[in-house]
Amino acid sequence: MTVYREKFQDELESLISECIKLGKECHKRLARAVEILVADDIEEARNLVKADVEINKMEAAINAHSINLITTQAPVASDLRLIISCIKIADDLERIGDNIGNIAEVRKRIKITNERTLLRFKTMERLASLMLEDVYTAFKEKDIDLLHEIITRDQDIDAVFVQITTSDIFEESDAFLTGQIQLTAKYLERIGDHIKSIAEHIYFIQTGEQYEKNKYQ
Amino acid sequence: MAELKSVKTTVKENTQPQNDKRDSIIQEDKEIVFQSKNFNLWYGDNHALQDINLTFHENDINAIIGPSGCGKSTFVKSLNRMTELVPIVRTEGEIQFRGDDIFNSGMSVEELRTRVGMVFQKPNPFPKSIYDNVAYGPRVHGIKKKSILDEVVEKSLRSASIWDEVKDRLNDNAYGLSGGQQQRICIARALAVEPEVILMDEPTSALDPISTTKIEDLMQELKKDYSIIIVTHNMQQAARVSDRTSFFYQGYVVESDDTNVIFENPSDKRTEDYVSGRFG
Repeated sequence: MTVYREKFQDELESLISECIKLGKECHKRLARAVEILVADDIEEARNLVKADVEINKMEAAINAHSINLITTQAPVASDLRLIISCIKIADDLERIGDNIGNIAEVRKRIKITNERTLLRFKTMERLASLMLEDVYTAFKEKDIDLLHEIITRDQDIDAVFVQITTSDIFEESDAFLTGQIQLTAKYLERIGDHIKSIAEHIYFIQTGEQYEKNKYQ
Repeated sequence: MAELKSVKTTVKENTQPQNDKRDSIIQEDKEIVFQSKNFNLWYGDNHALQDINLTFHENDINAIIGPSGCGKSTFVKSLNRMTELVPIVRTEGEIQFRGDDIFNSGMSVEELRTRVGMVFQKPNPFPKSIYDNVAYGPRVHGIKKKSILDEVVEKSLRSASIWDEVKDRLNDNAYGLSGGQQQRICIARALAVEPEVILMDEPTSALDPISTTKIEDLMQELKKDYSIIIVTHNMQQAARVSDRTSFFYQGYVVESDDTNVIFENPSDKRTEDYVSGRFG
C-alpha cells in the first residue's frame, strides 16, 4: 500500500508543534503568575501584561495555518478533527494567557500580602500547571484515562476557589483588596476550566466523540 | 408504461449482512431494493469480488468508493448483469432485486435493465436528436403514439433538470450539447423507461465543476423517486451527495455505513486512510 500526502502529514505535525509551543509558553508564564503577584518589583508584572500580545500572535498563526489546511487539503475524519481541535485548543490557550495577564494586572494595582490567601493561590496555580503538563503527556501517549483524570481534577481547583471566596479575609473592611483577591481567584479558576476544555478537545481528537462525563461514572 | 413497473415487493431484512452495519431499526420503514449475499465474481482466475454482503434501500443515495481496481464498478455492473457481457466472468452467491435473485428467478435481463437503469462515466448519447435519444427506450418497449412519447420525453427531460435548456431544440443532434448537458440527456434517457434504481458509474468525472454541481443537485431531486447507487472517485462528492457509503478494497467491502460515519469517524484504519487521501 503506497502512502501519499506526506506533505500534508508534515503540515499537520507542524500545526501540532505550534500548539505545543503555545502550550509551553502558557505553562512557563503560569508558573510565574503567583510569583509576580508577591514580587516587590512591579516591572515584571508590566512586562507580563505586554507580552500577552505574543500569545495572541501565536494563536492567530495557528488559526491561519488551520484555515489554510482546510482550504487546500480538504481534510476529513481524524485530520479534520485534529485541525478543528487545534483551533479550539489555541483559543483556550490564548484565554489562559489572558487570565495570566489579568493576574499581572492585579499586581499593578495592589500587592496582596495575606499569607494564607497567597498559599491558596499558589496551590491553584500548581494544580493548573500539573493539569497542563498532564494534558501534554495524555496527547503524546494517547492516554484516554489520563484525559478523564485531568478533566475530573478541575474540581480540585474549584474547591480551592470556594475556600478562598468563603474565607475570613472577606470580612476585612478593605473592599478594594477583597475585590482583587476575588478576581485573582477567579482568573486562576478559569485557567483550570480552559485546561479542562483542552483535555476534552484532545479526547475528541483521539476518539471522534464528544467527551461525556457520564460515560466515566 | 405502467406495465414497465412491477409491483414492489416488501422484503424484510431478516439477515444482517456481515459487512453492512446498517441499523435496521432506523431503516425499517424503507424497502430493500438490492441485497447481495456472499456475492463472488471471477474474471478468469482473478477473484475480483469476494463475499460481498451489501444492502441498498429505496430512496437512498449509496456511494461506492475505493481505489482503482478494487471492484466497485464490477459490482455495480453486476447489479444489472452487465458483467455477463465479459465471457470469462463467473459468479457465485446471490444478488436479490426486490427479493428475487437476479440470476436465478426467471427475471429476464431486459426486464432487469429496464428496472435498473445505468449512467456511465462518459456521456454516451446516441448520434440522434435529443428527442430520439430520450424516446429510444419507450419506443423499444412498443410505445408508438406521438402524444405519449411527447409526454414521456418532456417528463424525463424535466426530471433530469434539462428541459428548459433544450425544449426549443429537441430535434437538434444531442452531440451538439455540452458534456454536462449530454450527461443529463443520458440521465433523462435512463428515466424515460421509469426505472426503480439508477446506477451511476463515475457520472461526473468527465464534467466541469458547474456541470458536476448540476448533476449532484439533480441526484438529490431524483432520490425522492428513485434509489441511486453511484460509483465515485471523488471523495467530496460521496460525502456531499450520499446517504450511505461502502468502501471497497481489493475486492472486499472493508466498511459500509452512514456517509457521515465513513467520513468523520470510520471504524477501519484502511477506510480512514483512503477517505483522507493517504492511499489509493
